[in-house]
Amino acid sequence: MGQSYGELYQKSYEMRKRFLEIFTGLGYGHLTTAFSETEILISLLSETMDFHAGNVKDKNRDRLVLSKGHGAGMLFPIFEDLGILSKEEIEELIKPGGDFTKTRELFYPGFEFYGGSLGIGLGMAAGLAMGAKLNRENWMTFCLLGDAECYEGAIWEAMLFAGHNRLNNLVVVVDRNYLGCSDFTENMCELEPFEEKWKSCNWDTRAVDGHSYEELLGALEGIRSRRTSKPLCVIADTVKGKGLDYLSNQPLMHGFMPKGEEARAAYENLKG
Amino acid sequence: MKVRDVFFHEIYKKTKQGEDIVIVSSDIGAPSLDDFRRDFPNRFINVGIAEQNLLAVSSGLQLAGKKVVAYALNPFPVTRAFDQVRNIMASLQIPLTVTALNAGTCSAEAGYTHMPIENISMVRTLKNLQVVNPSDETIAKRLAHAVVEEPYPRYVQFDKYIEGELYAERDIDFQTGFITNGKEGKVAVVAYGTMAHGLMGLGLPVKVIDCYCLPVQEEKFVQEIEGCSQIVTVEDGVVEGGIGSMVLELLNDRGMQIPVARKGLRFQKGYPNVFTNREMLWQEEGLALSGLEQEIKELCGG
Repeated sequence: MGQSYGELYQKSYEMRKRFLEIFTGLGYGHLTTAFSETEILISLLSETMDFHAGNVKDKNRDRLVLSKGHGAGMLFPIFEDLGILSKEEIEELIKPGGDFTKTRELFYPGFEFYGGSLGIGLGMAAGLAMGAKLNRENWMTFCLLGDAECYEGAIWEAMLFAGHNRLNNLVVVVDRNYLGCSDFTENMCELEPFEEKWKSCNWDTRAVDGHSYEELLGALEGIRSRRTSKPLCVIADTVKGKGLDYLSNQPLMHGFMPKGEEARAAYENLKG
Repeated sequence: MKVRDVFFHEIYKKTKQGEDIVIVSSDIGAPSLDDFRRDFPNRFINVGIAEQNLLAVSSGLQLAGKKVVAYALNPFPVTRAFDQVRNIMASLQIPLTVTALNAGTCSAEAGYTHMPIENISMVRTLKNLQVVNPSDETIAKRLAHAVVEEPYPRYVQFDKYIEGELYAERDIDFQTGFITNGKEGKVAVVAYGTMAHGLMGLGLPVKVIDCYCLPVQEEKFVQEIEGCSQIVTVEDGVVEGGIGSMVLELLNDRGMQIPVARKGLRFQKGYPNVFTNREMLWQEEGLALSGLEQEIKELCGG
């Protein structure tokens, strides 16, 4: 582990703050999901995955498929922190008319693929993992899913496929914040018992607090030397909008972005 | 040999020669795939009847460096998995070759569910994606070559009744997308797949333009039709958005006025309510070759 837990929690605060700077300036983005997945993405990108910020095209890099594409916003502060993109490049990318040719080149961890059309990423991640096995290469594939994304039928097609093909080089983290856009998952259409569903498709599972680095990194420890043929699903319980109490755990805040005075208040209210 | 089998035999040969090809199937095989499955069992991946996953898994394998041929039963890789086609193939430009068995009404016995008759119209709405309808064995062979040498997002429909060679390899160019056959005349017949194949065999005093790969190179195509006084488009698919629409759009955008008779499936009495087959449907829809022959001859004489 590179950073102490104290440093990591401080990093969480900084990344959320930087997200606010970037996206309240833009006036558009998915704040609540970015804050839900902050610790998950930092755990993966900063502490677990093997890649070189200066050589993101390296064939042997670990891959991250961010299937819940509305969560891509949090990649930018983290990429900046890791030195993959500069502040200027981010500003250039995200403004209206900004050129995103660079991220379209499909080799940034998290931009292996454009998520957003939900449900596609897990199958793609399974294909990557199977490709690594066929190539006899040791890189791993990680995939971040939203829990409400798991209503998509294509997710279950890919779950069956990855379990059957014993893709133990594939790790899924589900951002389990219990919220879709309009309602709580268990009101819309129950996902529970969620962990058992993955198990029944021949996956190993771990359930953790998705805002606790101790638990997330505990679940991801020794990820390259698991003595099992099964792919792993980490179900990370989270709070959508974590860090801003007034936006936390509320339906209909999916695409909300504070503006003007409210944006300034958000900085002050942001919890470390 | 059937076009599908020509293609898979070539793919097998290339794999034997060392090409890093993977075939991903959604629960469909072919006698011509048996050699591949026997010799490269790890490279024949079956996702089950799951066309959305077929596209997604194939794209992951392609990004891991493989040359991927996905294989499915038509119309499903487009109709069921259209969102994956538009995001993975058109938008992200991941150069998969998605092949599908059945074209038009060739499996009409199985019912409307198994007729890929809207697929051309659907895929025509997407950019950066080729649609290949091999009307002869040479095209199928060249296509296998293209999987290795000219990677590009391609969706391919194999009509299960097309066999035989019409063209020379040097005449096939997926960038141009069409080939002109037959005699120069006032009437041009524009078709693809089984219709192009069948109409060519009639020896009519017209030029038959076989659009085996869409989109066609527009300027070259317009040059090919601009001297004609009548165009007939013939397709084994719905007329809405099909190749007839393509010709009308090309003419309209250039202010050209050439009459276009569009032959294709119209279902004016609704979808068939009887057990049907290709022959019956063609008869019903005015697509039987004998009837088309008569109509085209009349247009030539008029």
